Amino acid sequence: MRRRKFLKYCTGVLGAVYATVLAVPGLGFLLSTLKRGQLKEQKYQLAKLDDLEPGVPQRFSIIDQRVDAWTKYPSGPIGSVWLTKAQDGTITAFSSTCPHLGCVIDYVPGDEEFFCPCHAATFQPDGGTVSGPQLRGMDELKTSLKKVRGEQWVEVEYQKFEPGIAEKKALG
Amino acid sequence: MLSEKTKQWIDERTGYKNFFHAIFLLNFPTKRRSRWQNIWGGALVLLMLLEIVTGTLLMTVYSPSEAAAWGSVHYIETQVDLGWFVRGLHHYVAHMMIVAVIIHIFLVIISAGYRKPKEFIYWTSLLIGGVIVGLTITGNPLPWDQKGYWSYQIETGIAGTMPVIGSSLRSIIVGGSEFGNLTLTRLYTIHVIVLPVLAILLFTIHMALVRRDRLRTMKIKEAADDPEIDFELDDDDPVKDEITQPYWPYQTTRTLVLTLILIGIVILQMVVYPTLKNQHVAPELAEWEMDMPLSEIKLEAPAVSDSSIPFIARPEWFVRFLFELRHMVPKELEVLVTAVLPGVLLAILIMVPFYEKFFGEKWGQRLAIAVYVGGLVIISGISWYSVKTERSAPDYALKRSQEIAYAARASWLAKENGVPPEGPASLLRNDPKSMGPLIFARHCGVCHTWNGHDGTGLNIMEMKDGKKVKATPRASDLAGFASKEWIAEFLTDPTAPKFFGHLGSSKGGDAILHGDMSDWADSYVGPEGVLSKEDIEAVSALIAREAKHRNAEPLSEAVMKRGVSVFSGIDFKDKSGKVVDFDGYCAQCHAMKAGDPEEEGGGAAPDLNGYGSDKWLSDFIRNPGAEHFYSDKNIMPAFEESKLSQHDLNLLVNWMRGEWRRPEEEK
Ligand code: FES
Repeated sequence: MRRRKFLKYCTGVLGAVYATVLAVPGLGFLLSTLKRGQLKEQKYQLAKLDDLEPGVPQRFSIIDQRVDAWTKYPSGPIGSVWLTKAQDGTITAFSSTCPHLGCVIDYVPGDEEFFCPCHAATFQPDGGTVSGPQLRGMDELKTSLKKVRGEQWVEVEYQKFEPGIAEKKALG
Repeated sequence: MLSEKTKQWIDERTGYKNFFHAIFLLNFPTKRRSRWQNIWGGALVLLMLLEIVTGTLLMTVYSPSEAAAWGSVHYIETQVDLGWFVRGLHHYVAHMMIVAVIIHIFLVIISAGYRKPKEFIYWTSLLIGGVIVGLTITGNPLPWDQKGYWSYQIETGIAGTMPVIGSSLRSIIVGGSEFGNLTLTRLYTIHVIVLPVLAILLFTIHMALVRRDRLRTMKIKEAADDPEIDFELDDDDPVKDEITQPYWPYQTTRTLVLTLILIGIVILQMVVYPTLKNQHVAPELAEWEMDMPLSEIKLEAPAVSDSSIPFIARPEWFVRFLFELRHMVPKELEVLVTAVLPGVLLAILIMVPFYEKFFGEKWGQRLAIAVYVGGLVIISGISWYSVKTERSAPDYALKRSQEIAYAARASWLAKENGVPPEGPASLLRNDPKSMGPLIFARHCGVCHTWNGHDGTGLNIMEMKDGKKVKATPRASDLAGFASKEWIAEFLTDPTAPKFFGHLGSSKGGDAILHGDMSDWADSYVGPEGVLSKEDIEAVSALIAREAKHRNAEPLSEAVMKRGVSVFSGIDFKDKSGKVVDFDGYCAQCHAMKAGDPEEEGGGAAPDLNGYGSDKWLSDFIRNPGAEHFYSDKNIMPAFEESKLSQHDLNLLVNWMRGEWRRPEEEK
């Protein structure tokens, strides 16, 4: 009977070794693939300052290369941004991704309101909530001006944020 | 863990204890005689379990399509934490399982495990072995690398030679007549669903049969030991030797020990193999700088289906003997070897239980052992011979080095650029370093050489007196073309074998061989000639500047001036430093703005403006007989678009000029 006990013990130990050989790489493997798709914030020159019509939001696509795991795509649209130049010339930029669940926010000229078609969220021109299910206003992006060959260009730091929560938290 | 009471509570409602006993053989009686023999089956089960777990992990990343398969496996190897370990384990444990099956069946035969009433146990184990081989064959091509791709070509080819059903079978497996996306999706389906399900079914039947047999033995023993029952066993009855010891924990411990040893060997193999794999490799043979160290190459190059990137197809080791036998027999008998022979081998194994019918127990078993061991020895012998002849072939090291070099190149490009959406093959197809030598060998290597070989490292051969010998080149050696050194060497002796030396043999070549350029060298270069070594070097450097080579150094003022004086004849100083009239100046025949301020010359010989540059080389290759090149003295064929596409021409020119992305530039 002592032998039997000893062997049971051995089986336990050896079985644990076997399980570890599988579990450790298995967990490492699975967890590391979760890191995929983190976007670093980056600056994009979107428009000449003079070309923007004061008071009217305009949508601009963010064009960049996209890397999806092993595939690298040539440049193409990866998102878009609403740019508004106020009468006094200050620039505001909003991500066009809806902070509710990530649809694309639209703007109908004349309406004076941003509108998301998915669940009817509406926003003021300054990004604040008017009505709808969203928990925060539109996500504002940092802007700056840059002189390129004598002309003022609007630069935007494009970023994506976690949808569905009240807090504005960068994705990743 | 759970308290005894809870266990009891659950068991009363589920009967789980019995269930586990049945599944995990907890009370499973084992034999005394063969405690260490019977563990191979158990180890195979544990290895299979490991394959299922690692396989499932790989499935979370792997993507079965032509454009994505290689990239996803490369991603597993290089980006996923411990991905190399999981994939390595999955790959090598599969091979280890084939070895284990071979040993297991051998042990079954020597312990007469096929004897009545155990025939079906034996047959199911043979079938399971077959499924494991099938899993390895279908798993190997999944990365869609050169190795997997081409060995699968051979294997499906072999399947296709089967009489009657062969060709339809092949197109079902391949998904049409050509390899492509459907081949991969089918391969994947067979590998992850069809064969595993089959294996589990067979395994269930196998275990049910084994269990039935063990319980039967136990009953007989109990009856024999029970004094109340009037039943005695014969003295030589094998059941006498059996003890009814439960499988758990007595056999489980041994099974685990063996399993861990096998896994240990596999892990050792994984760590050591990269160096083993590359031991025949000598990249310097192909004058190829590896883009990454050999030990970092995790994957063969991506499959290039039009075979523009060379790769020698080799089948998996366990079907290698079929492949080799095919070469040994006359063509008409090929079908016998590839389709009939495996069937015959299988039949011989299946028939083992019947041998004893004809030869008696003792001799029947001996025959079975002899056939099994003999078969293994012959098969290993043939495989060993096959590997040996391949490895000792004269170009093996060179060709294998090239394959590894392409693997390194593709991996490096994928790491730097990512895999383009159109697939990993385009990494190589659009790369001057990869394609240049091949294009050169195909189009230029007929006449020209590159450092003496055809660009890829192979010698250009020709038949002479029925023997294959190194061919005499018919035109110049182009390695270093338009570089300072190359030009200086040319000017010093244009009729050297490296340059115009062999032209005499070709039509019209005589005119060049004894033409103006060689006369010029005869009259002006050498100890007697008016040109000094410095003069030659200066004018060479001046001309070489036209090519705008990637790491050309800027010329000093003095060299420039001296070069211009040689080229244009203006202000020319002889060896003593005196300004003299020089009538051998280049601009008489060649045009080149940089060397000839008055731009008066040129016309009679090739235009040297932009000599060796992209444009010059492309234009020249397209039309060497143009007015501003060799004109009517030209003997080189023109390579028009129909012969050499623009894409290939660009790759060729960039390669000749050494224009490709290199690892050191990244730093
Ligand atoms: S996603 Fe915009 S309102 Fe729901």
